[in-house]
Amino acid sequence: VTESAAVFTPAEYMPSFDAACPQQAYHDLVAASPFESPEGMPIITRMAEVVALNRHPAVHATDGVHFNLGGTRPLIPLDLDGAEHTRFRKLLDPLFSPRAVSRLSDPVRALTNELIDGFAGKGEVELFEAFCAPLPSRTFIRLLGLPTADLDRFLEFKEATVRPPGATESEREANRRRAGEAMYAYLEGVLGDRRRELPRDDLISGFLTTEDADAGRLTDEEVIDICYLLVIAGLDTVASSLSCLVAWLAQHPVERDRLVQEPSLLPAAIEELMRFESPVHLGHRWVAEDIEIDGRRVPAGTKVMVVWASANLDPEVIPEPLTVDLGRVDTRHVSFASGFHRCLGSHLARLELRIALEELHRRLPDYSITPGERPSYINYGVRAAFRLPLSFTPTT
Amino acid sequence: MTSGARMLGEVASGGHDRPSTHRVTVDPQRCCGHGRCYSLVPELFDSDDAGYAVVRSTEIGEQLVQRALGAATACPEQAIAVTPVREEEGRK
Repeated sequence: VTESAAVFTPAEYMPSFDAACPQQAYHDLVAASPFESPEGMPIITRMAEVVALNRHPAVHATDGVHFNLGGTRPLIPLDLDGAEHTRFRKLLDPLFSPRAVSRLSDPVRALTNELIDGFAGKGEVELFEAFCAPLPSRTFIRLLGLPTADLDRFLEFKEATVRPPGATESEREANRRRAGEAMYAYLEGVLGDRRRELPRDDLISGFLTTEDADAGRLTDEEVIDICYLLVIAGLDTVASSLSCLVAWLAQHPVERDRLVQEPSLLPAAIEELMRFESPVHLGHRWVAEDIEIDGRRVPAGTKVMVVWASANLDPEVIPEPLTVDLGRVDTRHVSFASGFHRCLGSHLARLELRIALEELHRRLPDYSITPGERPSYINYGVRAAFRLPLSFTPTT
Repeated sequence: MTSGARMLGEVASGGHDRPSTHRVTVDPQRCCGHGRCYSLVPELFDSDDAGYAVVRSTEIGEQLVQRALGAATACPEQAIAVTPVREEEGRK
């Protein structure tokens, strides 16, 4: 039995697919609905279907046997459903609310400026390595309370779980598993150490000492299963998103200038760019009972692919979806998913994206793609401009 | 839902001297804490401790209607209803 050739995104099924600008292809996928992959997996792309599916009680995050991102146990809270999921969201939501994450504004701004100091005088930079990748990683390691010295280990781990090497899905899954096993062992060691120390002002201490009337105390295994997911989520998604947003603005100087002149437009502009770029382009769901979603019958036992990137370009919901309009204030999008599994870290992501762009625009207002170069995009796992050569007027 | 949105009723309605023309509600069963409404119209929506939406003032005047409708459009869960007061009363 041979497995079909690797397709990193369902947008590749459309003739219009272009890795640098996949939006036309994601948009065409909506028009092609109802659509199935060559293997027969339903691909859900219309906004109405996506939102209905994400909040349907019979639609689960996993099949209960296979877990996301190399996990051998359900990742918390991503791989849980129903009452168990609610128990953990009750505990975690307040830690990631806009109010809670706003406490990180000053440290994130300081870190942002420290990184910009490293290249502001040079007039050019490869921004992904110098800025987009380290900013969220260092922010997150600090928030969680893991040692900064271990950062390379986390980066290696998240790369192997988000974009595992391998020619076939079984090879990729084996590589994901191997990285996962190493991470479980590492986190067990960290928790052992932390149990012997006094609590600190970070999330790991919070998890170890929390005692909620509903949620109760967390076991070591539960804390590990939360941290496992948070390390991946915190290290990759914001780095990728930031690179996509800066790459777009670097190629659209009129819009960039407008945001430089009026930083108050940034929050709305970030929503519109997140809609258009949809860095986390899709998720999977398991249908546990025969259901009907927006007039489409899906039988029990079906694994479906849910494409946020297409829903965000659904002309039924977004007028002129292929136009980026930074003045659009009522942008509707599901770039942070929707329903029960709405991204826990979405408010932290927004804070980091806003501060990063505010400081870039304040200090390097005329950044653009270095002449003769172009950004390189990857659409595997999470979309990113993984090579982003920028030029700007040097400053101190 | 993990933490339901709730309404605080006529809190901080801004002492508007203009008459209320519309009623604003957030369906706590639908709100999933995206936070689009309170970041777009902070005078009208607030966040609870877990990040779910709270309506500051259920009755609004003409000056807030367009922005309230914008928040309703932006809500991924379509949890926000903005209804004209007179039309509602007419139905009773």
